[in-house]
Amino acid sequence: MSDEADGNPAVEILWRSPRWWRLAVKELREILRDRRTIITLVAMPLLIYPLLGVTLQKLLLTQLSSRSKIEYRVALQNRDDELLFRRLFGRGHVMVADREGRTLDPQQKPAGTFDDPRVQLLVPDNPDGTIEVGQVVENGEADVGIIFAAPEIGKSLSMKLIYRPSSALSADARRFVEDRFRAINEHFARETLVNAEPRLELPLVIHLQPLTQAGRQQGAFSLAMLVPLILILMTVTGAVYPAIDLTAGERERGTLEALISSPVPRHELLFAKYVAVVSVAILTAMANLLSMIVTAFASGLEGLLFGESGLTVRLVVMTLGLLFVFAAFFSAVILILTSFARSFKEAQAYLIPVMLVSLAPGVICLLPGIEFNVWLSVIPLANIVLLARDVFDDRVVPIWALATLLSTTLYAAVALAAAARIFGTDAVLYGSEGSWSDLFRRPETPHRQASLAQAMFGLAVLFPSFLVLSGISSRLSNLSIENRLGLNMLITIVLFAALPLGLARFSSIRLSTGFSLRGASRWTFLASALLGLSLWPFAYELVLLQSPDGVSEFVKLFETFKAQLDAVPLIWKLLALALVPAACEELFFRGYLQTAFRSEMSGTLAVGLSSILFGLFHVIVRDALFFERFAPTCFLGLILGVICLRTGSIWPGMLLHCIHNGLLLTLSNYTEQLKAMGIGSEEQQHLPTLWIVGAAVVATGAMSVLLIQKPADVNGDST
Amino acid sequence: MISVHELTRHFRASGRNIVAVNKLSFQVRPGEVYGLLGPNGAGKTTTLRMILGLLAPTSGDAEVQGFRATIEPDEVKRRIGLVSASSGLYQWLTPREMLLFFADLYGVTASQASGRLQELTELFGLRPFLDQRCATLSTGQKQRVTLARALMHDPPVMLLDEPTRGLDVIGTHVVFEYIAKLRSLGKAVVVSTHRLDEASHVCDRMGLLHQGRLRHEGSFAKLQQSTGCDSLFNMFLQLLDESPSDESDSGREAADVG
Repeated sequence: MSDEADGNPAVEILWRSPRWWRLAVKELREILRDRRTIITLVAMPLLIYPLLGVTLQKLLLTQLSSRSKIEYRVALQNRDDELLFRRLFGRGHVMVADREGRTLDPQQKPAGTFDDPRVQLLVPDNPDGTIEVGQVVENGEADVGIIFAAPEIGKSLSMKLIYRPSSALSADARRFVEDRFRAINEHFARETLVNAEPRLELPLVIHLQPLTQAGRQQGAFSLAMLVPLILILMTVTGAVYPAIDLTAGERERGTLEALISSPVPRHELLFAKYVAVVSVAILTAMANLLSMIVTAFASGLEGLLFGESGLTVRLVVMTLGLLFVFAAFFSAVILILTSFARSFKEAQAYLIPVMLVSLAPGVICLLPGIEFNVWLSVIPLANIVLLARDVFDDRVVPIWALATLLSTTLYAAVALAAAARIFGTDAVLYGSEGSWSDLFRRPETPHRQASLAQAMFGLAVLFPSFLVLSGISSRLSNLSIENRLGLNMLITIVLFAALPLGLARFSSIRLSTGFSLRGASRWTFLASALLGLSLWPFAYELVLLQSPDGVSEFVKLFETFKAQLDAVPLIWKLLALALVPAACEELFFRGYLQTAFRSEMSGTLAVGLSSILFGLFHVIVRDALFFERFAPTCFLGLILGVICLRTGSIWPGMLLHCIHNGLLLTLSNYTEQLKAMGIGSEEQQHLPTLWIVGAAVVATGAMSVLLIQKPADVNGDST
Repeated sequence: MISVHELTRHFRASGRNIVAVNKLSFQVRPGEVYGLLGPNGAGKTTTLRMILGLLAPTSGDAEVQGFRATIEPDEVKRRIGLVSASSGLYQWLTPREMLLFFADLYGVTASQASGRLQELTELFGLRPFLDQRCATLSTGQKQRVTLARALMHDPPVMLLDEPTRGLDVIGTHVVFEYIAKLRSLGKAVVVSTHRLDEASHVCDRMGLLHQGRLRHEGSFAKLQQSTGCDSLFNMFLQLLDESPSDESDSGREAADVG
């Protein structure tokens, strides 16, 4: 027949794509044919924004007309400036009237100056006093402020017009005043040309000084702050319906049993649904953003809605990127609830409270004076709203942006794993009890290693805890350096050792296999020790390679720390900064994470991913990002990862890591003695070539010993 | 083809342990129609779900073509077609899209799927409404799409869970013809039903299930002989009168599990 599957090129192409995508396309096809999706996706944005735009415009006009008797409030810093302003403004006002061909109202006496009803002057009461013009405008007490430079004979009179671009009234007042001053200039230019005088310099030079967001009071509220929240809310509305329909709805219609009776893993079925939900959410976000932009342009509200620089391509791209991250997170969260629900109604009952609760941090973040900090950067939703606000204000702080994006991505991954665990479970399908507890039930059969989802969960718990705990530790300035080292050591043990061990115990993971704790040959240990002694020059040169300034920045940080550290006995330093971090970090990054990754991906990918994460964790140093640390740490992580992969054990890596850290600490402890011996006294930043060659020979030899060993069997028994 | 050994499933409800299926064993050969008969709550649907690998048994196992449901559930699922009375259709898809979607789920290639679609379209007379949205189909048309859907991957084993529930005489007749067709195609078929009158018409062998246990098994003639009753109805009345002396869970309740 003509309408076969293989007769249709679109079906043919689709059939060749990955299965999860084919499943997602079916879900999307179904959801996009549904009228209710179209209403949220198209009709709502098309109706809401023009309606909001018109309302806002009307509101602004009402505000303007209610003040028509006073009109523009102009602030001047002293009485001299007032006289100057009145004289200039009077002249300009008449000129504008002439130009526009209208006669001034004879009631305005003298015309356009002192008693002009459209201008109210704000000057100091005291004849010798001054007022802070910028402050007055910023506080909204005046619409425009003028600061004149000291007049010089024969020179142009310079002035600054200060205004708030985000206020329609202020911008209008600025234009009104500027028009009058420009009229003087234009009049003068005209006269000059007419009289053909050689002098062409204009008498007035006007500089506009719009108050930028950064310079303005942090507490000030602007309409632009609401835009991200509105967009986030609309993205939520886009995700909710498909999420319910594709999970609880499917069960209610009786199609879920047939679906899970097929030989497709449940997590793949759920992932396809997730892709469909995120796609619809993003489409909704885009439709809303587009409608908002069109409305803003059509109604002239773009300055008001999108900040002083208006709407730029960068802003649109960044906003969409943020909405994507948010949609990815929120869709996963609601899929947990809708997967659990047995009907459409039940899903709605779960979602409404969650949406109300999740709105709270979003609204709180819009309160004046709220700034990013460690806590806020890891609180879901709050961090995205704050980041969106900062994107709109053009004052993004990289560390908080990174913390927000990383934590949100991790939370999304964990939520998706949880949803996959619930989706289609016996309890949800067949009504036996305890399905929520199923999620937290300890498995009865032991596992060889953590699953990818469990590893992601560990990471999702560890990352915010790491940020928060290390933030607290760096703020306790009254602690002695020994105590602070002790505290850091405790944090490292809790986060990188106790946490993964606890998770493994809870998930019934065998420690020997789950953390790659098996033994290794003495040759491996020897080679690792040699690598530990010889790798530091490469790490150092890697830092230099990316930015010589970076090193000095980092050295500066290290110097401050080192000055305090000098007072601490070397043995204590070695314990706190070499032995404990080496043991705990190896346990987590190579033991828990890489072993879990290895069970579900190739060795290369597992090593690459774990070393990138290892590098990223080392980039964060006390509320700041040191990207210079990424390459050397990632490099070290790669070597450690390869060793663990080849030997199937974390012990050699632990030795390497410990020697590497210990060597650097010992060298720094004896800097003076070394300099006295003529080592390290060179002015040059790069290490002597001989050192690098020597280290390269040792490292290559050691690495060869490690690489000629037979790779460890991932499923082999521990020894 | 299907081999069930000591299949047992416990559920917890309201703090009590309920034995839905208790040490159930039976076998079904290719080309044979086996009826799992029993009143509501006897454990029929639970048994089918365990054979399919959707529910993990508390103990025991089911094998389909040598694959154990607890160890290789995907291999088992690939070999089974499920028809359930509670199955629905995707309202916004057409029967063609839906059938191709299910073929894809079972790993059928595009060209094979196309051939299967054509065969089943002819077999079930789907052509007039093949490209119409499922939401607009009549009950009879929906039933035919559901029957075709289970055969898209041409499975050797068919599980039919209360296939005639809610159907009128014509709908029931369609199902009877379907079962006869499956038998002639050499498929091993398990039909669960509480409609005893139907069972004697379509099943080659039957297992009488009560409170999760298989009480009697065999052809209709053999059952008449072993129970001394002339009809399935009377056999059931006899079963219900028997007090379960060997139940360890005296408080067993008919859970909403089949």
